[in-house]
Amino acid sequence: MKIIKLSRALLLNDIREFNGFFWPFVFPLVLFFILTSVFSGAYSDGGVTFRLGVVKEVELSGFGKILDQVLGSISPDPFQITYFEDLEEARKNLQTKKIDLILKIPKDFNMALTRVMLFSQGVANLEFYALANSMESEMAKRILQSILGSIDLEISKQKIARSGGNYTQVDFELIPVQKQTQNEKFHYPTYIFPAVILMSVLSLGFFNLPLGLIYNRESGINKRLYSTPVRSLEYLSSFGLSVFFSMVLSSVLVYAMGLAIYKVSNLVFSAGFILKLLFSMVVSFSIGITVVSVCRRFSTAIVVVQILYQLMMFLGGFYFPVLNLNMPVFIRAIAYVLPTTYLAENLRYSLHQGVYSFSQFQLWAVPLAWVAVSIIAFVFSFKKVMGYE
Amino acid sequence: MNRQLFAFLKAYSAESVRNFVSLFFTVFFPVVFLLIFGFLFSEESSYRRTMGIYVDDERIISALQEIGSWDLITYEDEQNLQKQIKDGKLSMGIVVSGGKAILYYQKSPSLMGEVKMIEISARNIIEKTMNNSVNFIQIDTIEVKEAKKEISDFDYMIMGVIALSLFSNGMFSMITVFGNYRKKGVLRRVSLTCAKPITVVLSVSVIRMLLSFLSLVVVLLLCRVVFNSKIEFNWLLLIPAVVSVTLGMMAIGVMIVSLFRNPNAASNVGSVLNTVMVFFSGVYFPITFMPNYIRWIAYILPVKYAADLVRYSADVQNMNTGLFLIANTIFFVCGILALWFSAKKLVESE
Repeated sequence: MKIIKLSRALLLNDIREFNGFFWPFVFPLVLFFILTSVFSGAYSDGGVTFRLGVVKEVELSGFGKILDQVLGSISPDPFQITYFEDLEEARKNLQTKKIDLILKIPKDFNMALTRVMLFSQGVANLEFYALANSMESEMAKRILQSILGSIDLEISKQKIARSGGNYTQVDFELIPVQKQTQNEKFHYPTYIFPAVILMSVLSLGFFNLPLGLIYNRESGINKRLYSTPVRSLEYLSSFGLSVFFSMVLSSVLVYAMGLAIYKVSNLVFSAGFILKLLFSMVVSFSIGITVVSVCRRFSTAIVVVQILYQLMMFLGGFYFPVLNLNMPVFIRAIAYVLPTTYLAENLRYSLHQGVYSFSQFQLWAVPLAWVAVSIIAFVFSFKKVMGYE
Repeated sequence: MNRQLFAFLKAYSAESVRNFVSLFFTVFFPVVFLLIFGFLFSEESSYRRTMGIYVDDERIISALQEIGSWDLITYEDEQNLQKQIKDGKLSMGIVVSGGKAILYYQKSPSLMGEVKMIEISARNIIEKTMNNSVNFIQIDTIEVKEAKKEISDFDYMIMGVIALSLFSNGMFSMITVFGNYRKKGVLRRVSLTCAKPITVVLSVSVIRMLLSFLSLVVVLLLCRVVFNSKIEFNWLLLIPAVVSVTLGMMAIGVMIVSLFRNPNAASNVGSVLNTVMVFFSGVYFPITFMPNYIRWIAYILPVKYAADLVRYSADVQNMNTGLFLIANTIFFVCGILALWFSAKKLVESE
């Protein structure tokens, strides 16, 4: 009863502060909105469109009409096409990022393509103008290159057919490699949901728990508390309970937003997901108490916690699957030892949105190892942490 | 006036250096982001994907290598390749055997677009190689630079990071001073002395400006040492740009503290704005990725223009001198007006 009363008081004390209310309860919702707004387009089919500038030095005719048909078929999605009278004007538009790529059709294109089609002689040249240091331009170039490559292949087919030869068609298959087949369709809000919920849980475990304990120790609140019948373990339990309640409240808000606005998968109600969420809370607690064990001063703790928090979020693959990027080996190694890499993946796995191929053992063992190390560190520095030595 | 200013400069610089947390967030926090994103994207930005390959026709390897888009690792058997992908050591791999091609890939949302593109281009190359076809359409690519100099994608991103750091430094300086100092009663105590409000504001801005430069130097040094960055600035352009951008960002800070009297609320609004800038300014994530209906947000964010000014100072941004001057003037005038306003309304009113 004493624990519940004290935890209620600690919770109210936290929530009455603007920061204590804003970061755990409001910010995750803001972030959910921002992430879904920014990235849902990139991950949805046909979400990204590129702006293509076309400079025709010649009106397409004869076989050249094939290219006209191709340009017609790729507009308006994935390319919004603008035609330019001359190359200079198009280049200026490219340099000022009004377009992402230029396709220049040279004067002799019709003639060259006719020669290629009828007599298999020479090549028909096309020119791309891509903007340096622009990811958009690079992507647009690759996509258009692939599309035009298909025309090239079609010409090859026709040529072989005309000469009476046998054309070998490649049977191309795409196979996702996964430990288990995940049939659920990719849904960005569902994919990002575990990240947002983990972010809010971590912010409470990383900030509220250690910073609260250290602040109370530094500001003498502990001394006052210990002059009452409250014992250190009861105080710690109350603190933990108040943070746990905040975590639950924050999760409920994220659930409400995810379900009502972004229609995340109902699998968020599955026992597996909820169990893993509770496990994530435990891991978050354990890291929080490690910070208190290691840092004596509030100012040191706030810096350590901020760095840890950013590392755990970004290298833990909350927002993009970092292990799929070409990272240096030591950064990859850091990502592999972070518990958040496995917590996020494990939660996503329950929603059928997993991106890596970790074994069940890895998914549980690495975060559990962090919990074990944290408990050991905490047990050895319990008196110091609770500020009654 | 001069003695007063000197005294405030001395006091505020001592306060800034002694406040370890504030110093960390001003100077070193951008470095944390730089290290995280630098290592994440420095090798990714070359757009080269490492792919495993197992084929029964050596010509296919050469044909795929000629494209130059991928780093290929050859495998002796299909199972081993699959295992590497399953273990997360490779993101994807191609197996070509007996007229059949299989692209194995990790089922990841970040790879889906790439997988589709690789399917088209690899299919074309493999089919062409198997049929001994030649190219009928030749595509030549000409790279157009935004301005005169050529730089790496990583260096290009760093200039955006610098703009973001100028933004947060400028904005939070005002939020801290006029939010926390007001709450703690520091401004009231200062106003009881004969100090002129403009002296207080001026000393804060000068020290914050110096910290902005310190942060810039730390970031650039780190880029050069750790990431082998080759950014070369025209300092005659960069210094006025940093001054005007920092002042402009201070104006945003003043606007926030004027609208939100509670320093915690002001600080939180600043943090949310900072997050919005990180995601929407196009520094880390291309604006094209955003849905059309929210792309306009990127164009109204000052960080986008601050990044343009920083890039222009390194001669990698296509911008005419007039526009550079106009943008700098806007930032500068907004900053000066905001500082004057803060001296009049925020300090004097105490």
